[in-house]
Amino acid sequence: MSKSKWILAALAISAWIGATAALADAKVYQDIYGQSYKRITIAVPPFVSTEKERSEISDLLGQDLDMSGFFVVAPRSMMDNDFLSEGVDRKSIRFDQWSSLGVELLCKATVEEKDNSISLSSYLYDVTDGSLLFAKKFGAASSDWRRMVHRLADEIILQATGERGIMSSRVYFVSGRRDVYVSDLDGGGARKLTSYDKLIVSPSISPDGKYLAFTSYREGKPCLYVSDFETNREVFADREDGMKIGAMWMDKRTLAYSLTAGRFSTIYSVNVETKERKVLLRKEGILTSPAFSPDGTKMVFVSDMYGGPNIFVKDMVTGEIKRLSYFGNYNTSPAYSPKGDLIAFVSKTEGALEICVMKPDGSDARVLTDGGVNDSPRFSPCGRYILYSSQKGNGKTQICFMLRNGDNKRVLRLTGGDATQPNFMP
Amino acid sequence: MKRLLPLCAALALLLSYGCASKPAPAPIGERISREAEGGQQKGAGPVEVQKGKEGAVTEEDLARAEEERRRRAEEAAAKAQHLTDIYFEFDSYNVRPDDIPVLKDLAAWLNANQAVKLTVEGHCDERGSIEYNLALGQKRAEAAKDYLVKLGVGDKRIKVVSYGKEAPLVPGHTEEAWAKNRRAHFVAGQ
Repeated sequence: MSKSKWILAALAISAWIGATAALADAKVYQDIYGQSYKRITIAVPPFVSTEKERSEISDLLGQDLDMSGFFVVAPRSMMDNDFLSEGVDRKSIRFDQWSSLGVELLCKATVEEKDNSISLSSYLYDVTDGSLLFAKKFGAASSDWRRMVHRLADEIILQATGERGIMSSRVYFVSGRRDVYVSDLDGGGARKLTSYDKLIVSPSISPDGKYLAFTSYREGKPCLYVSDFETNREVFADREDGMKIGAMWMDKRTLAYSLTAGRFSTIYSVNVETKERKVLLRKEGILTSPAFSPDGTKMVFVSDMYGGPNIFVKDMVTGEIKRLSYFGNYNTSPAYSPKGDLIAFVSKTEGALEICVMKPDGSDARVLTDGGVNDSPRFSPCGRYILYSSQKGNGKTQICFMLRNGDNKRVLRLTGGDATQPNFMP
Repeated sequence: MKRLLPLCAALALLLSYGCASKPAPAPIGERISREAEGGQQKGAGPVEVQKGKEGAVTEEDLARAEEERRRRAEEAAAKAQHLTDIYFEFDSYNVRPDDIPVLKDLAAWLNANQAVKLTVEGHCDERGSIEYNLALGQKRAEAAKDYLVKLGVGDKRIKVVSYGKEAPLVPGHTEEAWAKNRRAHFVAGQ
């Protein structure tokens, strides 16, 4: 298929994404797996403490809900004094008034601050029937109030969509190409996970958060290292000649990575505790970026065996290898969704590098981004979002996320420099 | 002809003495650390005047230092003349015919200067994914190395390091910048 044809095809298949997820327990207001979904209008009137209005807290909640892509947050200008003077209990709320503004969900909360701690008593109401969806208390150290708000946001998202939100997740990424950082989605709490101040690529944290694998140039050449977070000790290193890259955890202890040296490239798996290393695949030319299906039966990888880089899948049971990407001649950086129903990847189309998704058999490819150099897609643990890096025009490389259908693209303001190779903290 | 090569190289070396050639591009490690220092270069003059010995610098010392400085500059210039970047097409790791004379000249110089060790850096432009470009940079550096080995340079004398698209020579997002960043860069050491 020619390049232009596949783009057309990709655009035409506008809405295949998966079957509808039926979630029995939750009160599902919408479903992003369908072809279109409606955002819920939610109002978050200023939270109050005994002395004063604490609108910075309700504003952050509004910002989180807006970023999630599931809500339209009613602007404060819509609420006159009658609305603002209302209490938080069900009896004092005039739901018909809120309903006339088009509001569907209403979140109210009171704030209590004592010594150095803060607590929120929050209430989520369904405006249409005036029912209380939840009443929950959240507490934190005063300095940690933002993370407390993110937790409340995720609880509201859980109520509204059937799955917990990602607003309290942390992301790790490479900043300025020189160290790995971790940060809240809103840029809060950013700190270094490494401090080598040397070129570093492909950071990957083990599923239980115990190990950090990465490729660093701290010894003057690229070596692959695995360090233990707790002891800060190196548990494994590959210092062979050649390019070691693409660290990806297969389970809590087993790391896969690729080595390109001489005529051949090899994808290895290594148990970082026993140091037992196996060859998963060896071929002439380039092999890199291994990624594994959630059940571990398939490995996708990038190879240039037919010219440009393309995505292939190896059946780990039968050993059979199949090419998955037949669009254009530059397809890289594959990543499985946590349910295994999609593969995100990067494709070069019309000079741009776009984040795309396809089904695990390579069918139904869709372009999700819109120009620039986009790279390193990674699904959120819930599978609803894709985190990636994006560079446009003369701008810096920034971390972005979007819903897995390409809607709701948001730039994360994390650190000042170029930010690349993002992933969610386990 | 083979026996003539070192001779030619030696001649070229002689000729290059006194030639005002452009300074060698700094190796990548230096470039990064210099950036990190905010562009400040360490003032490493030929004579560091030691405290307490002020005034004790004789004309002779100065002349010797000047001589040393000139010798080093000439050596650097000779090196630089043979360490010319070679360039690659997009997503390719084939040596271009245009660059074969560059590699022949480099091989001749290396064969005439057996003490010199070479590091080949492989680089890519920004239009590609980070991981694939790191593998591609490795292939580019190895393609250059293989060619030099074919021309008689000892395998053990050449190291390769890929920087992928992580250390572009030319900033910017134009075809011109990209073309200059798809390169193999040579760094000589002892």
